[in-house]
Amino acid sequence: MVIMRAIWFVSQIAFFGLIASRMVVVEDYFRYYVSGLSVMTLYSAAIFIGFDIYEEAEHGVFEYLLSLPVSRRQLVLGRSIGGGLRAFIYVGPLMCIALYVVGITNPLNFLVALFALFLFAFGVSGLSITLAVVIKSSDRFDILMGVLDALIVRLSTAMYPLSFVEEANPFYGWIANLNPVTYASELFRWGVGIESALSFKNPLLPLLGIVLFFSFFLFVGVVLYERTIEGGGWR
Amino acid sequence: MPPIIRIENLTKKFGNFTAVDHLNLEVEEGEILGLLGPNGAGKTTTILMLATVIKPTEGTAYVGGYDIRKNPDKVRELLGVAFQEPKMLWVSTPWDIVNWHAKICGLPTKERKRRVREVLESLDMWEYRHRNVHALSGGMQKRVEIAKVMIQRPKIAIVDEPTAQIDVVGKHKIWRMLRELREEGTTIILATNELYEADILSDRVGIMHRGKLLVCDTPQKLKDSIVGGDVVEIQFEAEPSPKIIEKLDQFKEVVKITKIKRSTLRLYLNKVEEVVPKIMSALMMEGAVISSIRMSEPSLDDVFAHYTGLTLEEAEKGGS
Amino acid sequence: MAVKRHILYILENDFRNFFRYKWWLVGLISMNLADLFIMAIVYNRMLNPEIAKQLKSYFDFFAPGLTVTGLFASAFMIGREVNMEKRREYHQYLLSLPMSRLELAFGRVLSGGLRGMMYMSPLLLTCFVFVGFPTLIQLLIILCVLSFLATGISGLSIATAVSTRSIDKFVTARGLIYYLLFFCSSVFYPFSLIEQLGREGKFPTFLVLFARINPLSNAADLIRSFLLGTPPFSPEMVFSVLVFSAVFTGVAAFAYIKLIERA
Repeated sequence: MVIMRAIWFVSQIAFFGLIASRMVVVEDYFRYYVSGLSVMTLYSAAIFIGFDIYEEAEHGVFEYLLSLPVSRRQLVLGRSIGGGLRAFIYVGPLMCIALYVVGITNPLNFLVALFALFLFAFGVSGLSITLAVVIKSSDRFDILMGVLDALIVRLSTAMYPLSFVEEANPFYGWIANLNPVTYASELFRWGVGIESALSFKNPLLPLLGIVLFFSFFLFVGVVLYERTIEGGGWR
Repeated sequence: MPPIIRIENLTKKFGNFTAVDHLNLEVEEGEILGLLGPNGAGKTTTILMLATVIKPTEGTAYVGGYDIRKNPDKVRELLGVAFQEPKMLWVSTPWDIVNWHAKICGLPTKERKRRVREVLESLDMWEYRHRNVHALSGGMQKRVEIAKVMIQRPKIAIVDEPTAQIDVVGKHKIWRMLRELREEGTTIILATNELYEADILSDRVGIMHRGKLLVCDTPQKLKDSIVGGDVVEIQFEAEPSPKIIEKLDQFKEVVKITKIKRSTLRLYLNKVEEVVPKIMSALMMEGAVISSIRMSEPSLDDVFAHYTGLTLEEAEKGGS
Repeated sequence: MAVKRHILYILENDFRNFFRYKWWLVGLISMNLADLFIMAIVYNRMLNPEIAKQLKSYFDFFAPGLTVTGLFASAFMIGREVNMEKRREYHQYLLSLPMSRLELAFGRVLSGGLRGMMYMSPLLLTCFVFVGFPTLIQLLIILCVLSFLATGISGLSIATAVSTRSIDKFVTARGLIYYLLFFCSSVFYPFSLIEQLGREGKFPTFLVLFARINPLSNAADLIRSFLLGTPPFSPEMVFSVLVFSAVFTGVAAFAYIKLIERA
């Protein structure tokens, strides 16, 4: 998965980003797109923890974890943070490539953005774990993740500014406004200094969005986990 | 009648490692030939060469008169194989697997549907026929693997560890089905490292170790080939006199006599089933009063140890 | 007759397994539909005036490209299965079956291609509904070319699968081939942009050439030439796909036989 993602990432930069930037009116689209690409990749890596849950369930490791002297809350928090951190490690080298291409103008802004991306990754891992333990069917989970992956990235500002999304379809724009991938992409761009095509002039708004997303799925994840989690019944 | 399978100097090397080393063997039509040996003895590699799945490094084999090197397509038309590890895709179901296999092997549609049901029911897999392989236990997957051969009813069946991971009841079912298959005229090569299975099913057993065929004969003859392999323990009411011991020693089948207790003798001999009645008559004539008598004959593990110096367990651990 | 029967059974087995990977199919369908009805519609609004004049509608431009990418992804899937079969030794079972190696190899290549055609059909229909219907002759040419393309892609995928021993190497090779063919083509953007970048020295000449002869480019441009009138039809579009298909069908059949027997 890591190898495929790396090749996909580099080919997107080398081909799609470069060529599409000639096709569109968006100023500095190449840097705009590469930033969004980094967030898309981070999202894909963070969501993977859910698939690991199913693999653990298949091999009985999940039941073993439930039998340990660790509270359910600690388990879900640990897995979410672990999933997010792991995503960062996987995506780290790719992000370095992106940063090399895009450049950073304000390191302080970038650090804030990086912190927000950590929260984003933890939130996505939390979402993935929550869905995995609630659905408990690997087929259905795979299908849901496939659909979610297709929609969540395209209905965001990872690939294009919000104004164009709203112009194309107001409903799409409404979803993109509430999409955590949008917030993460915008913060990343603010962090590296791509100001021209930012959809939110005030970076606090997407930052607040990320914090809310992270908190919601942490809270919901913990509650659902504590109430519903048990071994067995995996399909 | 010429043998249905003739193996001549069949050899397979993987780099510097020789998995099968100049194997020479003939299999008679309609027999069950057991290939017994520890893991790594070369049984599976031999099977894969006969099934034309892998090519020999040297030598060849003739299956039904066809050379496995020159006419592999014809060879495969005669064979049905149940592999050691079940070969199936995790998204398939037992019904799909067995039904498709029957189609490939040319069963007509009407007969095929009936037979698929029959075979799956007889292997207790009918209830699970639409379950993904992914969700089946190892034993269930093994049953589906056997089902492929059972539905095909080939001229020559090769079954590699057919009852591994299967419970006792299942084992007996599969053994019965293999015997029925043989009664219908199928020649069966049974590769196994289960001694009891090889002993009760096989007309002949070939013992393999480190790629070589050490010996091949009926189970009884193999056991009889161990000098003094049969053991008889006789417990007397009173300590046996030297005259009694001398009388016992006169039997040419008796190899050794040991006094294990004051009134108990252990005799190491051959052909126990023939000589025990004579021993009993002789003892009665001497007026010896016997409390109990126990007999045992060597197992195939003893035979393996006799030819290799190792038990099967020892051979699996480090000998091979 | 037995030859045809065996090949049909191989097709049946591969088709049945294809639809068992529900999650993968749903994911691919979602991605394809999202690309067309979300991404393409948004990009339509973003075109610079020069490109807008050339393409008129990015949605109409992209729809044929999407059809070709859908065909590519689904036909390429067979390679992943063949690689997995080799790792799990399922290929030993296939090799033990009463059919010739050529039947087995040809059956696998053909089934990969046909699966691609089957998956692609609703996308092609969607393309026709939204962009415009071709004439009967044009439709026959499109279907013919796409079926050759599908078989060639299936062959390429199988050849890659059997020539890589480990999963890591297979994934790397697959990724390289996949994304090179995908992105270095006119599926997502007109070839003129790639040429322009080549002239400016921002794109290597050999990649410009690759994009030109890329069968995905030619198949997508063939559909566009019939439905949109641009780019103009050229026999090169058909020829490129036929050569690709002939080469990789042959290579795959040969590789499949030689390499899965190797032990």
